[in-house]
Amino acid sequence: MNVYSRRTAWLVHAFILALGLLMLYPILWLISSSFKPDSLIFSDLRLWPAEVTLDNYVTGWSGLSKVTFGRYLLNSIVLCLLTVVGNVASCSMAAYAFGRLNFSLKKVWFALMMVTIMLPHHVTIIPQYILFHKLDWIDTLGPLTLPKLLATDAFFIFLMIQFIRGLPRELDESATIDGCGPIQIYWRMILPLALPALITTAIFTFIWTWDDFFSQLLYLNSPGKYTVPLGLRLFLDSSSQSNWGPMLAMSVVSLVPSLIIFFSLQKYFVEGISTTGIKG
Amino acid sequence: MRKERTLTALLLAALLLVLAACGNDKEAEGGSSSSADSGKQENVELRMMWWGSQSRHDATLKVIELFEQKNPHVKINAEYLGADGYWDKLNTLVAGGNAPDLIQLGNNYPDYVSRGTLLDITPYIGNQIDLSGFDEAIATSGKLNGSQYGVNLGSNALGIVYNTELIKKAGMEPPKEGWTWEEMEAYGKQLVDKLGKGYYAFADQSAFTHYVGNYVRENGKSLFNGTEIGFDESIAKSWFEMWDRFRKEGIIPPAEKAAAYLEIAPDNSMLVEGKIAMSIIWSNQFVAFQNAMQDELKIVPLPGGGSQKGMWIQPSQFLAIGKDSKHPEEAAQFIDFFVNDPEATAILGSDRGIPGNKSVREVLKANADPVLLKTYEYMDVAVNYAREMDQEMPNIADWDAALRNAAQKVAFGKSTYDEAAAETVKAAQDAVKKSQK
Amino acid sequence: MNQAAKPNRMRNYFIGLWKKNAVPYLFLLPWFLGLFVLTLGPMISSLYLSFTDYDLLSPARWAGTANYEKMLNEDARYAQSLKVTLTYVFVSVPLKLAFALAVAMLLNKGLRALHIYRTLYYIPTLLGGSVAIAVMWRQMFGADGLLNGFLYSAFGIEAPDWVSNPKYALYSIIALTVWQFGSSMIIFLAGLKQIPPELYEAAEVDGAGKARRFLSITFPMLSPVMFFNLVIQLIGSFQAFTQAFIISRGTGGPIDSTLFYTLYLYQKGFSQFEMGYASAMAWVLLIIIGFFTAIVFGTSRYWVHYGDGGRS
Repeated sequence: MNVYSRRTAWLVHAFILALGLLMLYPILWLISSSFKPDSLIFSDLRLWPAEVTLDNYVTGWSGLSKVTFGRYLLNSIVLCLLTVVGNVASCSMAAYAFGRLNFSLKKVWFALMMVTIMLPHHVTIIPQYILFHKLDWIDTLGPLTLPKLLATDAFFIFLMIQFIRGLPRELDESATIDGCGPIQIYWRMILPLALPALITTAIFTFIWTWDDFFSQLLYLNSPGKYTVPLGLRLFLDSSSQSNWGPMLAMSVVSLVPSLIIFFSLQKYFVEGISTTGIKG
Repeated sequence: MRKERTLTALLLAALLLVLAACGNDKEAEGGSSSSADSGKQENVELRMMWWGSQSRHDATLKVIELFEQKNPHVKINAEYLGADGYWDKLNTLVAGGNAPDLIQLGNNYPDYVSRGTLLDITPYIGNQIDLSGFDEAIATSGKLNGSQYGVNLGSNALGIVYNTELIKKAGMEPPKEGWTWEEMEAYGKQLVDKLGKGYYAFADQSAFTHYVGNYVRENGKSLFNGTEIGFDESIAKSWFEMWDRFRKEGIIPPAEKAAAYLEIAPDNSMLVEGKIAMSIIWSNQFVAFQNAMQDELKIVPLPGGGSQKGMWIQPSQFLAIGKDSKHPEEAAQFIDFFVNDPEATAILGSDRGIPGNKSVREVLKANADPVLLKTYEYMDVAVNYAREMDQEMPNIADWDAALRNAAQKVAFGKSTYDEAAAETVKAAQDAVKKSQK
Repeated sequence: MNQAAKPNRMRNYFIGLWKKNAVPYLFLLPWFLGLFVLTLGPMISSLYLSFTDYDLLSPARWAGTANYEKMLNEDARYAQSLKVTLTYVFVSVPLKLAFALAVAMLLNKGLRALHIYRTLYYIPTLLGGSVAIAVMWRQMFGADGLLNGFLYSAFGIEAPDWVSNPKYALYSIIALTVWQFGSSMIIFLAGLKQIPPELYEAAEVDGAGKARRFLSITFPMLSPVMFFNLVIQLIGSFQAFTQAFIISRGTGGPIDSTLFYTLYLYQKGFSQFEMGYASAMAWVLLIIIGFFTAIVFGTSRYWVHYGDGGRS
């Protein structure tokens, strides 16, 4: 791996930072607005708040009569962890089969898998709802987690297939000579070597579930089970009153878990293959 | 080797079964608990769905609790959400055969009546539901084709809000009620002259469906007369012509600027940003707009001057019962409690609009804070400029989209007034036709 | 003798089939369950609904090919949504991928504080469909926005409102898409990490220059991931919804200039109660996406190199 010389390094830093500021602007706006009183959020759009208040955080956190925002955070974290486990386990299994094993009708199944991500989800929402309603799973975590355990996010299968196919085949061959079966190869070799792909899957699953408003809206009915995206929308009603301040304040709070997850997992990209090593 | 492989396979299969079962264990919770409890009164569970923001949720939950205390055999499960996604969820629930018992609806309720979603509650009126304290027009506003489908939760009127600081800055007198379109235009011209570059007198609201409604009503017509559309291309043309003149005179923002703001909520409004002095809003949005800015707002009726009064009192929200509700009587009782009970209505306040029950209204008005009081006072004024409302146009969302397109095409010089008028009328006819299939 | 061999051969055939397929199908078992229980059913019913008149709230009525005919012959807004979407796909996908790859390569070096930069660059993606995005976009590219302020003070140019002028609105959404390049960047980064550093070291010893190293190591080693990003971005852009929804508040305006295919589909299905029509739209889109994806898969043999030696 080549490293920049000191002078170029400075230049690169400067460039990355300048670009980064552009990236940062909306989050700065979000943070600064979350400290403004309601009457200034949309009337005074400057970044530096003319008046600073913590009220938004206090009202936002206290939530509604029975349920605080902390509850939504907790519900979301539980949901996200379940979906991460489900996706990583089930998608990596399917991806291993598609990426490394030979079996009948492989191309047909692969094509069918790709087709499942090509249909806009808006039109399957209702049939799917009817299905889960028949199963009597409305207002449980079932409709939100079971599909992940059953690898319905073909996006991640395809992602991992591409990573697994990028691994040199000689590794498998030498492992087979050592007496490893496909299950051991999957467990002892493919999974560790595809770690960047697994981490990517974990990060994306977490963050996308964290933000996923629509399916959580449909399947969760009891306010005690509401998650962050639903909790944030509870503040807003365009036809009459909206509590923008608390909404923005809790948006800031709800970014923290995603940031922590991202920040703590992304180091695996840095270490990636070099530390996991090719132990064979 | 082979043994190990089989073992792993078995373990995997077992794991899957366990996981699948995990999803299942909450099933029991969802079931209805309406088993009879020995005596006469059956335990009843109802589901109620509404949209709103924090204060509405808090108030509604308190009222539900109060109702449950007074009727211990009834339990109401609240399903509340923000305005985002409410209709998507409601439609999905209805399509999935899982509609709630009590449903909050807006003025689009005829769309749900024509598709058979709502229960005809006429039999409960005068029995479980007492509407005798309501004004006649408000009480019957939930009626369609002779049957009652919902009870009004609050009323509204359109009004022009104005930023008193900008008008003071221009050194002008505030607008007066009873003004005509000509006076409004002249006022606007003077205002922009005095305020200078970057400021505008009015928002471009040429695509505001109910503003058009007001305009055609002033000319003795209607958007929809109950069976077909009640306006024609000539009046639509004069509407677009007038707004284009405003645009050329610089009293409304140019097309580009206007298109960036929908001006229907404070988060997307040049009024709130202090760039325009006046805008049309629904009166129950007044508090929200005022809270979003520091300059003081006031509100006056829409311009008149036609052959007839254009304004009307708009029932903005309804509480209705789902057609498949298993306990319509209890649901009806709850509706009555919701709109008439002194304690409940005091908790609910005016958040869903001005309540229909006269005595409730008086109590709330007496206790209103200064900002809310302006809404109440405005409603008293608005009544003088209002006449009976027309039936809401069916599939109004279709027409709304078409009107916005036509108005923007005029604004950007992409279509003539005639083309825009023809497009608007055609879209309205299609929307009505769709409901009559 | 022949008669005795036949069942035996059959048996051997099935044993062979079992040996070949048992383990792979076991790995695929969860996916099969999901496919047959959760995914295919709803897909097929939406196909059926596309041939009906279905208003969500009352039962669907068979309508034959009426929806498809109306879509292809009468509906001007449909044609507009297709045009908007095709423009969007062919402009935004290459731009976003190039940008994501460039930044990923920049961030893959041994710079200090890299983890902070990576997080920084992922923030726009983290914000997703937040209201902050819509507000910010107006402040950046609106008539009185930062960009125009800069253009005016630096060059004296009075530029249009990029967000709400129908000529440019679509391009401002494309800019927004490119700006949210974080996910593609992460996938590229993960792919870059999978390239064994020894390869570069060896190439450097051989005296290979930067361009040469990119062409002979980075590009081939990264090609499976590039292929993935290309296919996924292609499919995703055809289905683009969120950006248009937050910027135009779901209207697709001004004058339908940002009326994306799925935005129109959503308007039809959910706000205008024409789910039958929306379903027909969805299936036509599936065919369009399938067509373009098949083309990309067809070209992959020429430029995608897999570690397993395969080329398709």
